[in-house]
Amino acid sequence: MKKIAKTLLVAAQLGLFLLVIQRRFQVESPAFVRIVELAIAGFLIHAFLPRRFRLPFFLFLSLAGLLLVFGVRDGTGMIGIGLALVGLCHLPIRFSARVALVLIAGAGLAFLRANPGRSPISQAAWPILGAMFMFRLIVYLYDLRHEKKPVPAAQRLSYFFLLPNACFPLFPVVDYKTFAGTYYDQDEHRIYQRGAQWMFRGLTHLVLYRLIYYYVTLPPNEIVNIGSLGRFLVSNYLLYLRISGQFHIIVGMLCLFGFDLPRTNNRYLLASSFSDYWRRINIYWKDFMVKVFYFPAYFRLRGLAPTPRLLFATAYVFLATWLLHSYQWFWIRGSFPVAGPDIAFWGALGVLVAANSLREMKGGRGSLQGDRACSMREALFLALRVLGMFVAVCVLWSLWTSRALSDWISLWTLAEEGRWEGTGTVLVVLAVLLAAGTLARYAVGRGWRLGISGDSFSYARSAGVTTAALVLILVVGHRSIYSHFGSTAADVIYSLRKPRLSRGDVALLQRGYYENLLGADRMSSQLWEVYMKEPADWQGDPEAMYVERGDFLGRELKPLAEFTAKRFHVRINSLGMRDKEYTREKPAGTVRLVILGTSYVVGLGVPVDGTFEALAEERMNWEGTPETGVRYEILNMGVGGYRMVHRLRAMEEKAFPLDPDAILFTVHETDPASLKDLSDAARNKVPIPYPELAEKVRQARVDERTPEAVAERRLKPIGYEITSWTYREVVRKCRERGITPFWLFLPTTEEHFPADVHRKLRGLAGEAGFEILDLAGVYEGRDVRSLRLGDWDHHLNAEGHRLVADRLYEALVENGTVFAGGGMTGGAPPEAREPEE
Amino acid sequence: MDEGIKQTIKEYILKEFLPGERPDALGDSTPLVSGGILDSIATLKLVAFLEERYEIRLEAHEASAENLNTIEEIARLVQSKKG
Repeated sequence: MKKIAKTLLVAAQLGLFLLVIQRRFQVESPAFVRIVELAIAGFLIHAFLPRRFRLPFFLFLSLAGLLLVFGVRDGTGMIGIGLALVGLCHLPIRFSARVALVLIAGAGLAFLRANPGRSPISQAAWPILGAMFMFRLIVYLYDLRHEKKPVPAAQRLSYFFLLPNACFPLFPVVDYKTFAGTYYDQDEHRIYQRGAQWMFRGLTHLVLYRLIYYYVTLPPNEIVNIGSLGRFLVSNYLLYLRISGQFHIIVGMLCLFGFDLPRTNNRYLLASSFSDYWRRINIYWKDFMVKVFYFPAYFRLRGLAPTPRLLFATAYVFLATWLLHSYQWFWIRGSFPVAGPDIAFWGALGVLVAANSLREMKGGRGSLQGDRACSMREALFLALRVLGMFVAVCVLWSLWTSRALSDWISLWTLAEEGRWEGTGTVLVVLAVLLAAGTLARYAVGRGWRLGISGDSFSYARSAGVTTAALVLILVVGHRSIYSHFGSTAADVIYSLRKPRLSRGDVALLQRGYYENLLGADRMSSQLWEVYMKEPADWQGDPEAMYVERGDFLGRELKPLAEFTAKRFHVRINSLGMRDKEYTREKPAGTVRLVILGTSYVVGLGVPVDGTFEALAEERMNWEGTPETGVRYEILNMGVGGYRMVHRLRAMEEKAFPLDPDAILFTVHETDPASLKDLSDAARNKVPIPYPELAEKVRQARVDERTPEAVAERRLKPIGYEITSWTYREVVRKCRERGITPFWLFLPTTEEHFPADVHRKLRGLAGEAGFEILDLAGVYEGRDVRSLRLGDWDHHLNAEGHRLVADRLYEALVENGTVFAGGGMTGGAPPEAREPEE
Repeated sequence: MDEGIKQTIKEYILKEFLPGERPDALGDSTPLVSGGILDSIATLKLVAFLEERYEIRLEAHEASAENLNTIEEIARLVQSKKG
């Protein structure tokens, strides 16, 4: 009876966990929720089954999980491939021949991975298949060679088809011997309870991760002083919480089925040396390396003295780690990263760990390991070491997560003025951490423990604390409760409930960086997950779409080009626009508007007659023409990637020759911070066709030697100045030609709209003399995510275009200029119109 | 089981990896690898000691938690190697 109660108490905690991830914090994908549901149902059956049926049941559950997440086609494909690989390991032939066959099969699978067109399973299934077999086959073969006892087939297969693997492509490298050796190695309820506790701990890591990702991380181009540099380095490292959170949940879920696996991380933020860090951060990886690479290399070098043996073996381990991370990346993404930061990071860490290991080999690990009693002075010394290590690892981590070595070097190029700002805060934070660390170590030495941490595990205490904490999260996470905490706290809690991209990642997404995102294998990137959802060939072939110009505009749409992008056949018209055909000469009795803009205006992903400009044009002719007696044209002159000054240039060069009556100059809230047009021109030594802007860029010290992030950082302070100049130029040049300049504000579909930026831009537009078409509230009352093409592409979908078209039409009617007096002033001389104040 | 082997191993572990620890805190079944007392470097030092002291030769795959997690298991490994 007591046993049943204990099992049900674990199940109750799992139920609370499920409620939290369903109703409060959507910490992972919907597939994760499905797997947790399956795991809980499976746990309740499994725990009451006779022991001999449990392993086969776990295997059945794991296979069902694959089918549940991936469907029958991919699921059976993955199971079939997996069974074939395991089968090869057991062929009745020499061991070396089996290894050779597995390698050949691996090469064949690698070919299919790299050639999606020939793959029997979808792109989404490969990372999971890779996670199941890429490392575990190595460990399995190593142990198989030395295996002495017979092992049931269900255990062998369960090792590969682990239930949580169905939703986690980044998976701890579970050791086969440990997997087999720890199966029900102690009281089952203690194992189950440890599982529930670890799943809860993983949940807290994931929520903390989200808090840091949303509110603390900074894009590299915002690092201007010591304070922001410190914030960047620390938050960047702490993003690892996502992986430690996932690993806790994975291992916790396996505990529910009797696999009493060891912890995957051990307070890695408290590492006191590089060797200690290596032992704590990803214990399963370290054990894998030690078992398969380090010990075999060390034992093989028996003829050498201990020091060179250790150095060679360590170098071998870090070389293997680097190569295997690239190998892992290949199975996840289908291509190998060749990144300088990767080599530099693993090389530097290898040297530091080797030096540390040598010291430990000769002198031991020191007497302050563990929780032994110590004096305050000793505690201070240890806290200093831990703090020093934390800072050193933050710096190394920033190297690893940089896209290129030059990007990492540019992090340290702070602003000339104000570079010391924030130094005081950084020093205070370090001092507080040092004091807290010293006191904590001193207290631990005297037997003090925090909550459910520590090695002495108690079922009752763990169950009590975990249940209470989950109930607390459920209660606090309810809107009716957290809304009493004040608007800021309530906003923060609300935002933590759903996944979204951070400000920095949104910027990268908008810039299309994710297509080649090398930083995505740094195990923390939300952007990488977004990228993974993008269908193959979504973007289309840029060579088919664009003509390279080699000047300031860089590229333009290729006239009469036809291609497929974002699921639609696209035809560029003879004037080089993503629009229907228009005559170069403006027909009589026609008011011609030209819209200049970005990819939002181009409207890939919707049909050519479904873009907001096409819909607005149709409505103007349907509703406006009977009133005014003129026809209306809106020519779509949007080009993906055209920044603000690009649009000015395109207006002069391409729009003016088409004799427009009005220019719709589309702007976004991202414009002032998005001066890539100017920075790219300066960095590529392409002349900027506006001497005033060229001078501003020169004064900002941006030239061909300036790294991209530094260039952006240096131009950012003059973003509004450049915006204002551009607006005035647009208006002046339009007015000179008797063209009406419209400032068309179209917000992007990001969740957080910067109202202050919008106000400032609208003010500048008014000062410049624009007619205002402000669509700032166009998405109000709608979930902007429902107006996007997809998670991986935030451009407007068909519904979004319809919404914008209606709002644009209403704004034009409200403005009245276009519909006034039988149309517009057309090509009337500038003096014929009253200048705008 | 040769108690002398266990005693020698225990003394070595206390001296090398647990300086200052009370001898009675280290039992024959105290987990050494899973308990964090033996890490990879400590394991290599212990293996070097065993090979030299008992004139045996250990292989890489034998330097695992399966054989080295407790003094009891280490002593058993040494005895099996000595024949």
